[in-house]
Amino acid sequence: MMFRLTGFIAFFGLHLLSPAGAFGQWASLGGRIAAADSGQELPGVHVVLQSEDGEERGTVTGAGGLFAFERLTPGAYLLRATYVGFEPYSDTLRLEFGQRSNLVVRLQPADAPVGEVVVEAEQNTTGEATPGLTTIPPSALARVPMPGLTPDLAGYLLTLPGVVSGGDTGGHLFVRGGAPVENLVLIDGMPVYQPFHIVGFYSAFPAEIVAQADFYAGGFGARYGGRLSSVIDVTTRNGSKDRIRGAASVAPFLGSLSLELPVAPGKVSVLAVARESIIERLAPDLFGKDMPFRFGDRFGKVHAYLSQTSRFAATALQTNDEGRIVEACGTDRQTGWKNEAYGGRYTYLASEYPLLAEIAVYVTRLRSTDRPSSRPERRAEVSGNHGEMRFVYLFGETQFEFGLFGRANHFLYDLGETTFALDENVSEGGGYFESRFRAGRSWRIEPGVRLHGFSNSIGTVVEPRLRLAWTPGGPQANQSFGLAWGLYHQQITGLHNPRDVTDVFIAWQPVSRRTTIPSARHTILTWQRALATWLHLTAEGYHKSLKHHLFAEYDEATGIPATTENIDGAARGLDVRLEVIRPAFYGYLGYGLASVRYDPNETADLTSAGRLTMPFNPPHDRRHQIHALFQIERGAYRVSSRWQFGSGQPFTPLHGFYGNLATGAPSRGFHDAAGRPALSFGPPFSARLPTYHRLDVSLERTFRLPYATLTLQAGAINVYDRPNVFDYDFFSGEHVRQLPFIPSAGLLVQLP
Amino acid sequence: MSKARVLITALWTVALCSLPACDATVDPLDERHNGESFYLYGYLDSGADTQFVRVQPIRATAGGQPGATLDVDVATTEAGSGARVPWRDSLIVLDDGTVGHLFFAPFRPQPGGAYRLEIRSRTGSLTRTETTVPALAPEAQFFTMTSPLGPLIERIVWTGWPAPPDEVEVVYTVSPTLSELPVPIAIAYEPLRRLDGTVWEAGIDLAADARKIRARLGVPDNYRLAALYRVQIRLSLYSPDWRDPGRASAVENGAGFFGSVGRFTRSVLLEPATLDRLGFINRQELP
Repeated sequence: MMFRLTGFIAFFGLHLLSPAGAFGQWASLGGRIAAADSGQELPGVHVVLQSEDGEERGTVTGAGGLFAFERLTPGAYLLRATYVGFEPYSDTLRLEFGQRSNLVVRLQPADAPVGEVVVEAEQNTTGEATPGLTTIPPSALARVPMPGLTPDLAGYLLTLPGVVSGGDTGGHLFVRGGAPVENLVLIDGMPVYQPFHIVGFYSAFPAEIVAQADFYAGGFGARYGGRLSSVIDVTTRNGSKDRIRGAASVAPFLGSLSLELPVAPGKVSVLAVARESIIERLAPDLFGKDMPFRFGDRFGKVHAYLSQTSRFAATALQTNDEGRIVEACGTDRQTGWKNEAYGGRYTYLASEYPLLAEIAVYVTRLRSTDRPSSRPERRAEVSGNHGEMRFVYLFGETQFEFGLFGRANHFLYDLGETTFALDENVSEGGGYFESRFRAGRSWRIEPGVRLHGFSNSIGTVVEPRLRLAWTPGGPQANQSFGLAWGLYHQQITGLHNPRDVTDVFIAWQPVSRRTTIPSARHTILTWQRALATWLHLTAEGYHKSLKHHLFAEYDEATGIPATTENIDGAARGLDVRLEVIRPAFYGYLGYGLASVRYDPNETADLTSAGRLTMPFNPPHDRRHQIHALFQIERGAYRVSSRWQFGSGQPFTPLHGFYGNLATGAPSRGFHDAAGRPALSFGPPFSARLPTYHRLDVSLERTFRLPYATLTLQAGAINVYDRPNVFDYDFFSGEHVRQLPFIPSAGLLVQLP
Repeated sequence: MSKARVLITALWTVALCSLPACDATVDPLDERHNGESFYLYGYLDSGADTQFVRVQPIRATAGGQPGATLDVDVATTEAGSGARVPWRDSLIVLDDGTVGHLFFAPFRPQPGGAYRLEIRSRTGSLTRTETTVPALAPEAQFFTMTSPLGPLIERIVWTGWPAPPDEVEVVYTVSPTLSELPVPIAIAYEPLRRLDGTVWEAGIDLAADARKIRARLGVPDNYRLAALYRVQIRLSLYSPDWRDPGRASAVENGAGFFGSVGRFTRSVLLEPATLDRLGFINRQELP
């Protein structure tokens, strides 16, 4: 294996060093595309090259905004580049015999993002299918009505049909049957363990910092690993390098400040964004009730062009969350978590070849606490030092990507019981290779493989991956089909209490060396079609099979995992999205049909009483989900609305109450003991909660002033005050509700 | 306003007004669960002549108490012989002042025996569970040996046990004076030391035990009028249910715990000179 790897590197290196004369009788064109204001490289830009006789060839920029066309007939060409949120770019080129041209294209940001979408859509093409992947530009985040003028990635993700929230509060996302701990969330390549804020429509990723977010609901390529379910890969913006910019906003939930500084104009920029909640201070006066959620995040990025071909970015992120999630029940559980991520990334973009090389180092940490009134405090911490190298090379329309990574992780937790504590170091390392090439005009093929090894005898895994797109008629056709398949393992996982939605505490840990590594196999089939220039349909079927998934059963009295079930299972479903994109109107209708089923593994030790022995649907098995979203713009006004519906999620019903007399050892103490109040449960997760639905609306009015832009917003969450059930207190009989009707008003000032 | 707009507005209004009215309450009780069911807690003890189990009806509300009436039949059936033993109810005052039901049955379960406990209500519902009383493996033995450390130290050695017993006790039957009735005093021993794969050992510190016995009898340390009648080594094995007695167990149509304990006893005869050094009057009889 080692020999093959060395051989590949040698082959790869020779290609890098070889002259372009291999295709010398043809012309070739390559380059990279970046944002004009910040210099941010833009992956995902549609690039079309049209020859004099009208023949078109298209591609999409990859990592680093790189694109390339090989084996071009010498002559005149029209190059067009379009990307959401930027003005379309076009230029005419003349390519000579044997010429190898290298371009740097700078796209100007569009003033009217929605209008720009239309430019792209009017081509009546669907683009090539990207199974499992939703690429989210920052302009998309503003389509979702929020209580305030700080659009957020979390709000957008919750409109996608395969994404199920644990509740309006708590910050747990379940993606196509996967658990929250099975989502890999990256910011500029750095993992963030618990990035979603305690109020569910906020995350560590406000629109102010997002350049692009790639959301893989499954079927992700070999570049990503270590998680079973999904990937949210957020690339952050660079600050403006030509002028000072700033913004401030305030709304009942939070206030935010952002600043962009061209420290060395044209070369070095700083972007700083800070947000802090104010709802916990305003709620008693505004709404007459406590909303004890305190959260915030701080982001900073320095980006510098070191030379024509190299750049450096340093990124820092901190988040904090604290609150009482089930305040309505009078419980005194105080839950909190803090993320930290700091890192630097050096990028080299060769001037002669379409080559990108990156070296990154970063440190991350998550600290969590949970202080229930009736039990000892639980606390957990996971931290890591990471290093990685990545090489991307475009060889004609074929892309090769190769990466190496190594990490040193430290896990620490204390669940309040001396027998349930952990302090362990685990190292991991590995590499991946993936490529993207075309077979004819219709096929795009992306095979890959990932090798991931761990210390402490946890094991090494090899994970093959494959992504395909078939676009009958070529990239400019109006429909496309896609397939993604892959094998995934998760060696680092989090213990959490799946029975109790109000318990969001997670203790991260490596899997025990005595257990089999949890794994999953994803299969995704996609069909997307442009039904009209303004109407796009995507349907995606998926199947995720799970093996040796860990499902902890928590003891009600002690709050520690009583057993950890080793279960198999499957998630399957169909997600359908219909988008209407008009100059002043955006509409979206999403429907998700899903089924998640867990089967306790027969090899599990069943001698212990009360084990899960029968197949069941876990609490995040939401069968039907509908999202309807629209946004209308009229002059300076913008109206947004979202309605969401979810069928009831499973819970474990009750048989009744009794006084628990359990003692740890035989004694006669039970003869006259009254016992502790306890519950007798029915079959696990065999009943379902009522349906969930909610309507959110917002109205914005923008005033363009000489030196600033002022935006006012009025809106409401849960307009018709649907009493959605979050939890039920069996002892008091009290329903714990999700977020009630919350009116809001917001103000945003942007300079200049 | 056109008719179409009026119609759409009306439909939206109706939809929005009707949505909040959708049922949004939870009935936490299992709809498919019919009839009565019971919570039980107890265990069979092969070292006791009377067995006990507490029985509570599982109630639909958190408040309230079981009350004085519990119209059920409780019985055990030994799987091998089919022998059925009915249990009797006794109403007891609990530590919170309410009343509870403690069922008892005068029999001594046999190690290795499988017993099924059934609670049948007058309405016909049946709550059922079972346990097998732990037995010694055929190759298992235990005995005492005099320690080379001196006469006041004895060794308990047991062989053929893949795991140590759940309890190791030395039971001294003593009386403060010759004119009073003797009482058993059990002193637990741990930790245990593994000598080999299936061989375990514990050291009995007779001098330390003598001090503990005097403390429990309430006599001073130099008191020499207490009489010792018997010394027994008692090992106990718990049924596997005891690994997690706090969780709902495999009780059919109910909840609770029903385990068992196997008790195994050997008598030890101490030397008169040893008893003299310990300060006890010797009243031992040959085992």
